[in-house]
Parts: sequence; C-alpha cells; structure tokens
Amino acid sequence: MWVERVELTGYGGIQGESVLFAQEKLNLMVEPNEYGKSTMATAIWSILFDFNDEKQAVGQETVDHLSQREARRPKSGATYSARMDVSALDRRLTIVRDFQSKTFQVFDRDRNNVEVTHQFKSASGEDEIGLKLTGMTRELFLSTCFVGQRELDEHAFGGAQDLATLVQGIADSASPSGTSAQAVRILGDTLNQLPVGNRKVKADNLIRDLELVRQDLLNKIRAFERDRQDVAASFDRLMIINRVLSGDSSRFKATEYQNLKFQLNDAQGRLNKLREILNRHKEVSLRISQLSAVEAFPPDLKRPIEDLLERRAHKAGEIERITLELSPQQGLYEEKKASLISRSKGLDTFSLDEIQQVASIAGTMSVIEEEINDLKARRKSEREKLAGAEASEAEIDEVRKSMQSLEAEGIENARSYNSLILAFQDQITNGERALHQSRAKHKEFEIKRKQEGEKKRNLAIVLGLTSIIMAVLAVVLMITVKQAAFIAPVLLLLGILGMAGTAFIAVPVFKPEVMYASDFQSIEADKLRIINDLEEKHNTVGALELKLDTLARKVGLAARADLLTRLDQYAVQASKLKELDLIDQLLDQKQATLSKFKADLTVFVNKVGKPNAQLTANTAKQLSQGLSAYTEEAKTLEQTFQDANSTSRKLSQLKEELDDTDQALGNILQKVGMELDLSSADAIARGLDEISERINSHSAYSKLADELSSLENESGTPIAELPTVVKGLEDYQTRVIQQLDALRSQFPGVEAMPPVSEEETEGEEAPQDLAKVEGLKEEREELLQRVRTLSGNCDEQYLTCLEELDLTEFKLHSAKRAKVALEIARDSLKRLSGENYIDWATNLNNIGKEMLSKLGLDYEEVRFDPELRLVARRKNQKEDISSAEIMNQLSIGTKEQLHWLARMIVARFLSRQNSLPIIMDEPFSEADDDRFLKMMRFLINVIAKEHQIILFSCHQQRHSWLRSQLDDPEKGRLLFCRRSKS
Amino acid sequence: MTETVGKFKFLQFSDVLLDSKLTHAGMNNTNLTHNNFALPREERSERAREILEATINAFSLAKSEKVDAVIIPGGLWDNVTVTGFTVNTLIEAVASLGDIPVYIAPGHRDFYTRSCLYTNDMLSARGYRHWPANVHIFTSEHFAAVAHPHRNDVAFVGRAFSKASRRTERILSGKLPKLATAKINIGVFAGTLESHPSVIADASRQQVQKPLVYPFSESELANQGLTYAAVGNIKEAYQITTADEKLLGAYAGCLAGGTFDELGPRYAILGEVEIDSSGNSVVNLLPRELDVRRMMLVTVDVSGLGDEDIHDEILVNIEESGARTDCDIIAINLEGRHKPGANPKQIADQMAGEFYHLLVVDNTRADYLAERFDQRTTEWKYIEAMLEMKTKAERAKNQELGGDSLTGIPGADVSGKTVEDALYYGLDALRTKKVIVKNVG
Repeated sequence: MWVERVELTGYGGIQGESVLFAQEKLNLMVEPNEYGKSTMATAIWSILFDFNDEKQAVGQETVDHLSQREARRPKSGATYSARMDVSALDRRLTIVRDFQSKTFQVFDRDRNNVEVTHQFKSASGEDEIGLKLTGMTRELFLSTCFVGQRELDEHAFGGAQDLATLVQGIADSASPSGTSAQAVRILGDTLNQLPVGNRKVKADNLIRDLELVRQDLLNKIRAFERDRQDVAASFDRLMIINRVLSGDSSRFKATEYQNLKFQLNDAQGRLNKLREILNRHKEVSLRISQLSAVEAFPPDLKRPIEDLLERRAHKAGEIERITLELSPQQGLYEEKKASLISRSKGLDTFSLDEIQQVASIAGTMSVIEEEINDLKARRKSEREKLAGAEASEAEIDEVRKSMQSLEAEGIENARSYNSLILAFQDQITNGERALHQSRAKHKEFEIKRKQEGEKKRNLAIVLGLTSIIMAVLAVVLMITVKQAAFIAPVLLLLGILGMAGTAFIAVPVFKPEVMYASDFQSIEADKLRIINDLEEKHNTVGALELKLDTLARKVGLAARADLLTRLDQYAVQASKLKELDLIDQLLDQKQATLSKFKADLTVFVNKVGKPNAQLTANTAKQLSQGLSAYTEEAKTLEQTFQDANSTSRKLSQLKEELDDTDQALGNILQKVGMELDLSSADAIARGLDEISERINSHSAYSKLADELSSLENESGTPIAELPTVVKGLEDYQTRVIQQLDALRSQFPGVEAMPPVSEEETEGEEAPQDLAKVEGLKEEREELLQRVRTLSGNCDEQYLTCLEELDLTEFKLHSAKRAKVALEIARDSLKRLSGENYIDWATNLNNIGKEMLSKLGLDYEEVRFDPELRLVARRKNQKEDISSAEIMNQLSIGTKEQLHWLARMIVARFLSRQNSLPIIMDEPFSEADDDRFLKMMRFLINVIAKEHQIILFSCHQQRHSWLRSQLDDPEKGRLLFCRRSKS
Repeated sequence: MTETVGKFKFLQFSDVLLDSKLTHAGMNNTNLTHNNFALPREERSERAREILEATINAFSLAKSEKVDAVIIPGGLWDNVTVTGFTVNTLIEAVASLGDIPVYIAPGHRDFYTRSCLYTNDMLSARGYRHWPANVHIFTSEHFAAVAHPHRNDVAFVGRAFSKASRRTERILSGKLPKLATAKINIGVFAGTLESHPSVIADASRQQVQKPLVYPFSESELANQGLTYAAVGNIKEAYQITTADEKLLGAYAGCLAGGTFDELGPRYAILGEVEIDSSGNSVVNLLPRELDVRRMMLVTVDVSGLGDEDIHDEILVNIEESGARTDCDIIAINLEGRHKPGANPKQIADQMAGEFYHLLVVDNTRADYLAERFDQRTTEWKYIEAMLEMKTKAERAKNQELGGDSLTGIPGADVSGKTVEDALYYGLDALRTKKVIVKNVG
C-alpha cells in the first residue's frame, strides 16, 4: 500500500490543504516548528484506522489531557474530516473519514469513484478499512510502521514499555496490549487467588474445602438414610406390637393349651440355646486363651490398612484385566516399535530438543559453509587484485611490510604535507591567475585613459576654435555693423565661456594621470597584495617540499616524487589489504563457529554410531532428515496405537498407584512395627499374607471377644449366672408340663382341639401375661418416640442436606473445571509463546542480518534472543551488549540507532506480504551527522525501494546538508513535499 | 336434540411435589447447568412455602367452586423429603372441604408404601391426624374402581405407584375395572403419554434414552372408554385427544413451579363433565392459575452488543417474555458473543433491584474469534491449538461416552467445554489482562 495524497478538510490547525506523496521515494516534509508536521503524520494513520476512543474515554479527558480525537478537532469549527488517496490491493482508492460522526467512505478511483465502503466493513458493520489495507490492527501499525517523535531514544516502538515486552506483545497478539508472559502470570495468579465471594482462595484449597464439605454432607445424608430405614423398621415393629396389643383376654382353652405348649417349646428352645451358649462360651474362652499371645493390632490402623488392601486388590485386578486386554495390541505395538527402533540405529535415543538442535545445526552449518565458500572466493579475488593472480603469501607479506614501513614513518604526515602542498599550489595558481587578471585590468584602464584623452582633445579643439571665431566675430560686428552691435557682447561672452570650457576640457589631455586614478590605485593595491601572498605561499610550499624530501629519504626513497608515487600505490593497496584482512578475519570467525557446530555434531554423530562420518552440513542435514523421518514414523505409530498407548498409560498409572498404595501400606505398617518388603512382587505378596494373617488373627481375637460379649448379651444374663438360669428354666419347664397335664386332665381332648386361627384372632390376640403387655407397651412408646424423633430430624435437615449436596457438587465440579481450564490455558500459552518467540527470533534475525550488512554500522550483529530481547555486538568484540546495557549504558544516539533498526526489522517482517508505508516524525534527532547520513542513505537505498517512506522534520539545514552529501541517483529518490491549498 | 341429564364438576391438579428439592444434581443435556439456576437458600425456603400455599389455594378454590370432587393423579409430594408438617397442613386443608371427596392416586415420586404418609398408621406413629373420611387414596398398583360417595352415576378408576412395581409396564393395555352402574367413569392415575410434546422433546435432547414410566398411547386410553382421564406424572399441561379431537383426558402439569424447569404460568384444571340422555359426554376444561408467582427464564442474546446496548436488550427481552417484574422469579440466561471488554453479567446483576427476584446466568463469551488474527502470533497459534484440543476432546467424548474426569492433569480426559473455557481464559488474560472465572464463588 502507498499513500498518494492526503487532504485535510479540517484537521487540527489545518483546513483545506493537501500534500502529495510519491511511491518508492523518501518523501520529506522539512518545515519549521508549528507547521503541522505531526498533525499530518497523525492524519495518515487516523484516516486509516480512526482514533481509539476506548483507550481514553471521552469522560476521562482532563483539562491538561485531551483525547486524541479531541486534540485534533479543528478550532475554527470547520468540518472535522480528512481524505486520503491510496493505492492498495491493486486498486486506487479514496478514503474519506468524518471524525465527528465517526464514519468513513471508500471510493474506487479506477471505477469512476464508485463507493465500495461495504467492502471494508466487517460482517457486523465495523470499520475494518485499516485492517484490510494494511493487514494490521491500529495498535500494531502504530507500534511498527509509525515512528512518532522521540520514540526511538527510549523505545523502539510506541508506548512506554520496554523493547522486549513490545516485541513479545507483537509476536503474541495482533493488538499488542499484553504479552503471553503477562497472561501466563495472570492465569497463575487467578489459579492461586480464585475469587470466591469476598475472599480469594487458591484453586487447590477451594477444591479441597469443597471435597470436605461434600464428604461431610454425604456422611450426614447417609446418617439420615439410616434413620429413615430405622424409622421404617421401627414402624413395622410398631405395627406388630399394635396388632398384638389390640387383642382381648378371651381365649379358648385349646389356645391356652397350645400357648402353654408353645411356651414349653419356647422354654425348651431357650434352654437349648442357653446350653449351647454355655458350650460355645467354653470353646470361645479356650480359643481366646490361645490367641491372647497375638500382639494387639491398633484399631485405628486396621481400617486404613484394610482400605489400602482393598484398593490394592482392586488395582491389581484392574492391572490384570487391562494387561489381558492390552496384550495383543500392545504386543503388535511393541513389535512395530522394536522394529522401528532397530531400523532407527540410535535415532530413537534423540530427545525432541536434540532433534531440533540437529535441525538447527544442519541449517546453520549449511549457511556457514556457504558463507565460508563465499568468503574464500572473495579472498581469492581480493588477493588477485592486490598482488596478481599468481601472488604468493610472501609477496602479499612484502606488500604488507612495505606498507607497515610507510605507516611507521608517518605516512599520515606525508599525506598531510602533500595535501597542503597541493592545496597551496592550487592557491598559488589561483593567486597568479588573480595577478594576471589585475595586470590585464591595469592595461585595460590605460587604454581607456588614452581613448578618453583623445576624445577630450578633439572636443577642446572644436570648442576652442568655435569660441575664438565667436570672439572675433563679436569684435568685427562691434566695429563694422552698428545695428548688430547689441549681438556682439553676447557673442563675445559666449566666446569667452567657450574658451574657458576648452581650457577645462583640455587639462586631462595634458595631464592624463588624473583620469581613473582611484581605479589604478585599487588595481595596484591588489597586485601588491597578491604578489606578497604568492611569495608567502611559495615559501610555505618550499618548506613543505623540504619536509617531504626528508620523509622520502627516511623511507629510503630518493625524492619526494617517489614518495608520492608510493603513497598513491599505498592508497590502492591499503583498502584492498584491509578488505583482505577483513575477509580473513571473517573466515576465521566462521571457521571457529563451524568448528563449534562440528563439535556439537560429533556428539550426535557418535550417538548414531557413525564416529567416522564427515562433519559437514550435508551429514547434519542427512541426520536431521533421518530424525524427521523417524519422528514422523514414530508419531504415525503412536497415533495408530493411540488407544493402546492410552490404555498402556492407564496401566502405567495404575501400576504407579499400586506402588503408591504399597508405599502407603509400608508406611502404616512401620507404625505397628511391621515391614513390607517392596523389593519384589513375591516379597510383597508374602508381606501381604503376613499382614493379613496378623490382622485376621487380631480380627479373630476381636471377633471371639465380641462373640463372648454377644453370647452374654444373647443369654440376657451374665455368663456366671447362666447355670442358675438354666436351672430356673428347667424348673419352669416342669411347671408348664404340670399345667399341661392338668389341662388335659380337666379338658380331655383339648390337645386335639384346633386352636383359634390367626384371622380370627387378628387384632384380638392378647398377650399371655401382664408383664409382657407392659413390656410391649413400653417398647411401643419407645418406638413411637424413635419414629417421631428420627422423622423430625429428617424433616428438619434432610432436604437441606440434599440441596446443599447438589450445590456443593456443582461448585466442586465448577472449581475443578476452572482449575483444569486455567492450567490448560496457562501451560499452553507458555509453551506456544516460547515456540513462537524462537520462530520470530529466527525470522527477525535473518532480516536483521541482511539489513545490518547494508547499513554499515559499527555493529557486527544486532539480533533478537529467544525471548525477543534485543542484543547487539560491536565489530571486533566478542561480548554481546544485552538489552539492559543497550537501555542503560549506550548513548542516546546509539540507542536511537539500534531501536530504529529493530523497528525496521519488525516492520519489514510484518509487511513482507504487503509493503506498507513507513511514517517517521522527526526521527534521528539524537544522531550525529555521520550516523544521520548513514541511516538516511540506508532508508533511501534499501528501505525506500520496498516501502514508501514519509518523513517529517524541522531541521532544514541538516537536510540541505544531506542533499549535498548524496549522489545524483540518491538525490533522485528524495522528494521534498509541501502542503498546498486544495 | 339431546338433553343434559347430569353434570359433574371437578378440580384436577398434580405434580406439585411438595418439599421436593429445588436444586438439581449433575448437568443437563445442553451443558447449561441447572445449578447455575438454583435459587439461594432463603428464596428456596420461601418458594417451598409458596408452593404449599398454592396447593392450599387449590383446595380453597374447590370449596368456593363447589366442585363434586378433587382429583390428584400423582405427584402430591416427594416421599424422600416430604415433612410431617407439610402433610399435616394438607390434611387440614382437605379436611376443610367437608364432604367433597378427594381422590389421590400416588405417583412416581409419592409412591405408596406401608410406611408412607398416605397411611394413617404412619400418621399415627408420627403423631399427626389421619386423613379425613372424604379422602380416598388408591393404594394398589392394580386399577380399582370406587364410586362417588354422593353420586351413583360417577366412579373413579385409579391406581397407585408402589415401590416394587415395574415402571415400564403398559398400564392401559388391559381392560380397566370401571363401575358398570356409573355413567361417568373418571380415570385417576400417573403415567406417561408417549406422544406428549415434552416427552418427544426430551427424547430428542437426550443421547441415552431412558425408558418411559408407565407408558401409554392415546389409542390405549381411548380403548378404555373412560369419560375423562385425569393424568399426572408430566410437568407440562396437555389435553389428550383422539385423532378426531375428542377429549380423552388431560395433564394439569405441575401446580406451581419451583425450579427453572417449570416455567411460566402453572395451572389447576377446573373441569365439568356433562352427560346427555343418550350417554354422550362433553368435558370442558378451564385452567386456573393459583400460584402467586411464576418462574421465568429469559434468554438474552448479547451478540455484538456493548455495555449500553446489553442493558436495553435485557429489558426488551424481559418485556417480550411477559415476565412480571414485581412478582415473578426471573432468571436471565445471557448467551452469545459480546464485544471484548463488555461485562453482560455485571450489567444484568446491577438491574436486580428492579425485580422481585432476579437470577443471572452468564453463558456468554467475549467475541474474540470474530476478529482477524495474524497467523504469526502466539494468539493465533493458541486459538488453533485450543480449537484442535477441543475437537479432539469432543470426539473422544462421543466415542467413549466419557465425561470430564477433571483429574487435574492438563489435557487428560477433559471435556470440550473445559477446553473452550481454557481458550477464553487465555484470551481474556492476553487481551484484557483480567480473567473472570465462571461459576466459581
């Protein structure tokens, strides 16, 4: 894109004026302060992009600081608009922007100015003219292609950030407001300080807290569920009791008989049970006495160990299952991988970094080898120029020696003397020329005086004769003609006056030196001065020639003429020799670098078992290609067996978890003085058996102890009293038998009578005795109490707990999701920005290298490091100058120069596809004349060939001087622009 | 011309689910999380109280309209969480109806068991009064017919959900035991009409189809020859008709919405059956809204809008939705892609004072992706990488039906939505230097 014309209808202090710019030229607008140069510069980008009102909202304007839009509003009240003709995208367009209404129009000048505004708006109707024409956002354009006043001394790019941050910002985002590093930090901060209500919590802590809350709620809910089951069970029991208690006392004798019989059976059953308990008690006591030797196992550790063992068994099961599922695919995968590895011949041992390193070495070595070849060719050509095609080293040394001798003897003095002689001789020649001119002038005046004398003489003769005749005639008239006597005095007077005049005229004729006297005096004075001057200069030349002769003799030459001839030769050879030395130096450096890379390559070559391979770029390239092919094949293999790998990873994870579990088991067991040998699977299995045995023994002991206590509970009496109870029961049995006998005797056949059916007695069955009735009533009260209490508790809290669980699980899920998302964002940005910076650094450095070679600065290297920090290295110095040193230790002029170069590099990289204008408002203000000239020449000869450059400056003298320093083709690429009325 | 020989007026409502949870577990199908929409604790309690009030209002309406019966085909409460207080309040309310009979067919969530609060035994055990005599509760999972206590020509054929019953049984496949003497036979039961619009909508949304609970079809219902079927178990009101538009029955839907799944006005049905001399019946249904407020969900698309426009857009959408700002509970679901830097949630939150209760759920994203990106920038590479990761995650999820394991290992088994979150968090950090984490806190 290039800017053809800018017309400011009303913009800042300018109304109705326009300026024309040329393509592929350095357009210079050199005008004094207050001319409106910065206004013009701002107009160009603001017509393209409009102002960014978001950057400084209207409400935020202060008395001291207007927004950009307000600052350029015309004070005269003219329409706040401007237009610009551009040539872009192979079209000639006119952009008309109204800054007041924030609208724009685009016209296609190739198609009769038809309006094409819609083509430069986004789908949602937003202004995209700048973006579409430049491919850059406003911020990016301002950071690269627009160089504002005093931007270069502190920063290479617009804004107040440091250079690295800005380049990183440009590499990171199309609107370089921030960098990936900042974003990564913000994401990390967010992970550590998640806003939760009014506080900030670390994501891990939040998840942990929510897990605890969730677990607590789950425990509560489980407790409520148990209560609900309890309520149901109690209710069932209550119903039974109610049914029992609702029966009346009427009973049939048969039923009584049957009941007695039932009681007898029941007593018998109870008796049997108690006897059984007694026997079991004896057995258990015996076993307890046997197990009492087993060391007690801490009860609080039992559960964790059991959990761990259970988890271990689960994991082991999983591992077994996955291994079985995986084995065919895994086998195939392993087989292919083994085949790939065997074919790769060591390529598989390369890490990703190493592969990149080899690729980088291959690329760099190839470049260096090419450079070395170029340098060798150049050296050969320079040698030929210096000492002929067949020149030997000795001959070149001879030349160098001779020159060194000249240098030692004050070659510079000789040059100065000779220059002075030449200068003085030039001046003598000029003086002689001036003397000659003075003499010619003298001669000229003499001729002029002669001619003037002759003119005066002739005039005097004519006037004298006429006067005499008139005087004679007057006398004759007075005498002869009385009537004409009155004329005679007049004639006489005229005659006398004529004679007087004749006398006046005739004086210079007789005294010619009075004519041009002052001119002659001046000429004489000049002649005298010139002669004196010439004499003086002749003396000086003589003295200098004497000095030159002395110098000539010093270096073994006969006369100064020989010395001067030698000096001419020296001038030619010195530059050639210098060039040759420089090439040699470069060659050495390149060779050294190559050796370094070769040393690096050796490691990799040895790695693939080819220690005897030639250490060349080709070898490195082949290795790199091999590695790429291997990586690609390995990647394909990985992708093909992705599922198997995923399962395999899961298997590894499970194995790790199993190890962790074993480790945790070991740690817990240490506390009870046991050790789990984790050295082998068999050892672990043995250890686990031991643990299990000990836990089981202890468990058995506990169980037996529990059983004892439960036996006691079951019996309802202390064991010690059990024999008495048994005795009581036996007595009761006897009594019941007696009662049955009595009934049989009283009611013969009662035993054969059918008892009352359940249906008949439903709700009517009465308890057999009062004590039991009372017992059931008490139980009923207890059950009612239980049902109501537990239900009441559930009513109060169960729903709340369930709802809270839902919300907590949602919060937990959200927190986990946020954590994972933030981590993914942070890690991905970090990784991608690192990779992208390296990519950018490579591209920028390639451009930088090319530019630096054409700029002719005192720097060997100006490059961006992998963090995109600017690093420079002076010629003939080994140490780099870091970005911090550039900022803090270099002069403002140098800083300006380096930052300008950095900006040009970035601008060129970004506008490779679409050449963009570079607008510079008062650049190089801190540069000395030499640097200024170099940079301007670079702009004219290099940058202006690919970019349109528009430069605004107030330094008229400096630019006039610049013009005088440029050769004609360079001058041809300069265009001085001025505003004119539209 | 036939003459109306009998009229029967009834009030039908169902699916009130008193004391049920007003939150939801898990995520719904659209990944629009329900719990985003949960009311705060105090408001949930208040809402539960209002739903109970709406139920009591229904009984008051029945009394004032002098209906012949109140029919509740399921869903009166949630067995798991219902409190004694609520049931006791209901008993008091139905008792106030005097001799107007109330027919309750326990449904899916209030299924009948020996120890449920539909039994007087449990009520006794809990210390509450018994169901009054005018209440008939169907207790068997087999249909049973019961005659109206005061009208010989009216009978109710109903059934209950029981704990052990097989939920996929086609309940209307057999013949119902109608009372032969009754001219008006009204079905009272909970079941799922296969062609109900919300059933079809659910089926289209869900990837995994759940079997329907007690399914039936219009033809099966028509074959039963009921005068009218009062059906429950679906929250949305719907009239069941034959192909020739003959009314077979109706779902009243839930009586009062408690969550944002139960949106808009909710009704009880005031119905009247007219029987003519030739035995033909005409049923007229009139919906009556008994709840003081409605649950309203207003989705506002903020795409392309800045802060000022978002405020206006919200107001316009609320007005168009018919939500009543002074009494309804309104949830604003913000969607779309807003201008970077805009904060729709903050704007919506600031409007809360203008409403009885306003809940804002932000499902918007900053519209970064509509911008042009330089392909050389980290930003572009990041977007590309994240979109690729998202596609992979979604593909994997579809294949394995896996979820978001959220193991904490970046990139491992994460869902597409989580990767999308990551994409926007990264862009937020890069562009605005600020990350607003959603749904946390």
